[in-house]
Amino acid sequence: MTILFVVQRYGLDIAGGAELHCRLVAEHLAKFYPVEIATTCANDYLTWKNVYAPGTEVVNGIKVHRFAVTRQRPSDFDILAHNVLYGYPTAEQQIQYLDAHGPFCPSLIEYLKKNSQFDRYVLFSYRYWTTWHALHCVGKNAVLVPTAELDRTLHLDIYKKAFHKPMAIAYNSIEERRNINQISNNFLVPGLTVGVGLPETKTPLSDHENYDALNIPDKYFIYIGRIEEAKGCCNLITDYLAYHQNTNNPLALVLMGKQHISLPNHPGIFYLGIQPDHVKMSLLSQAEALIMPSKYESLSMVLLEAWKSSRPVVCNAHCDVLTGQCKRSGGGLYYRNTEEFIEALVLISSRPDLGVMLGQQGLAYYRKHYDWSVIIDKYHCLLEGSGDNV
Amino acid sequence: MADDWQDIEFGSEIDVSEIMEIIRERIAQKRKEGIYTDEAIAEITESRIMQFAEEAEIDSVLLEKLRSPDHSWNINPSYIIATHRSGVKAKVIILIKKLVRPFIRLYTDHIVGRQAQINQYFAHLIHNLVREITRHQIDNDALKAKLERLEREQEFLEQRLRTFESMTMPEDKSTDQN
Repeated sequence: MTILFVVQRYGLDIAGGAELHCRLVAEHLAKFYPVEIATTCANDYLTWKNVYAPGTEVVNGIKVHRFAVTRQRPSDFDILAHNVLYGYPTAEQQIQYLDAHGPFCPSLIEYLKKNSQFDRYVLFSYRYWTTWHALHCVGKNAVLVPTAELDRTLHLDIYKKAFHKPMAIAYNSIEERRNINQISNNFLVPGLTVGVGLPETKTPLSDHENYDALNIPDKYFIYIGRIEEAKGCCNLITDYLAYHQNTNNPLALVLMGKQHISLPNHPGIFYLGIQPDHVKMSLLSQAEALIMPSKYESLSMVLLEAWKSSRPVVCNAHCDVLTGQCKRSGGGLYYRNTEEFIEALVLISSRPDLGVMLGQQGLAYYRKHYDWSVIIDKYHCLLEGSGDNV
Repeated sequence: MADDWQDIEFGSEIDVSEIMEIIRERIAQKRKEGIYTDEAIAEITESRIMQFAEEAEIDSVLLEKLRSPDHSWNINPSYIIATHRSGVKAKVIILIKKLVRPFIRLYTDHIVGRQAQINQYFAHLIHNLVREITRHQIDNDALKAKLERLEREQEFLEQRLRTFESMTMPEDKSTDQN
């Protein structure tokens, strides 16, 4: 069985969750099947500017076919998106939104139409132009990995219909599956709640000098990911400042990731920028807890990384996926407002025994559900067209 | 506002829902006791405003603007002329829009300007109202808690009084019998 993955961006330097998810699954499935990738030449999900050369290259032993994006995202996309997502858009306006959202890459779809040698397709992230068109082109042989957050895009009719197209769906969480099933009414499409495992990390930070050079305190909470408003980071800063002001001996907040918003110059906040994986995992394993303020997540790989490191998490309770994961695993607390945020942080920092127990529960959950053998077995089922229909 | 958690005991297996319940009970208790500074009241006000906005499902970009100290959220006749089209078509459309705009603004500017003033006034008014209501609710909760405490004290004193009375009663009875 030959498999072609279709994804909006692909490469070792692509930091996005869904893209990493795709690469990890492709690399693991490549041990069992011939696997190839069809993707764009873009590496920026906002502009879709062509950065990689079109053509075929090999990434970590997998053949990657790249196609140029022919239309970059328009400057007035936000206005168009607002009108479509918050109004009553016609089908034509929704297609116009999809075209503007991108990555607009007709040559990739032409490639799918002309190359029928693939037995199965794995399509990543429902909201992208490439995925939507691939679903309409090769849907009956495709496994869709929606990576869908519960936002307004999910309610657009063009997407609701698209969820009926694939032969099977690999959901990231029980909540994602429930949301998609209820909104699109695609109960008859076979599916499994799969998720994703984590990459093998290199040796944890052994060079102590490196750690010292980061110049952060011994005890801290950590946030890892894109530092932007959409990920809830503005609220995280506000909540943290309230925690700092209202607590005796508050711990520091370490932020790691690409910065898209301005950060206050505050003695408790430490921004480390983008760090290599082994530094990230090392700092995560030494943190009091990982904080995840995002309201829109379909899985959150960094949550799994925290549990793999036996660390507890503190999540935004407004995200049903994160709350569900915390409740099922027993690996973290979830806050609805600033007061609960403060109490959760005080509780974890003042009771290290609780942090250890939550972390252990998280680790057990991770091993049970996100070990690669479990994930790949589920993909075998889906690729053979089976899943548990609701 | 926050204190430590040394008095809580956890079992070998932890149910995070139970911990969240304890956290919420503690917060409710603190609210009842009125342990709030001006900063805490400001925070609660802000979180309430956010909650209202989330319930109304306001666009997050607009919400962020509404929370910012400037008035960039307000309507403004000076919009940016743009189009999602590209190439010559786009240039023509933008040119036409630029030519037409001064005539439209001649009729709309004063209306938009007045509406912007009204929006600003109401936003200011509503924000302050939420803050005042929050403050009164917190004061009300604190007064209720005080009243309950006074009632308990009164009950205790009445019990004490009855006890003293009952202690003195046997003596009176014996005097009567004699």
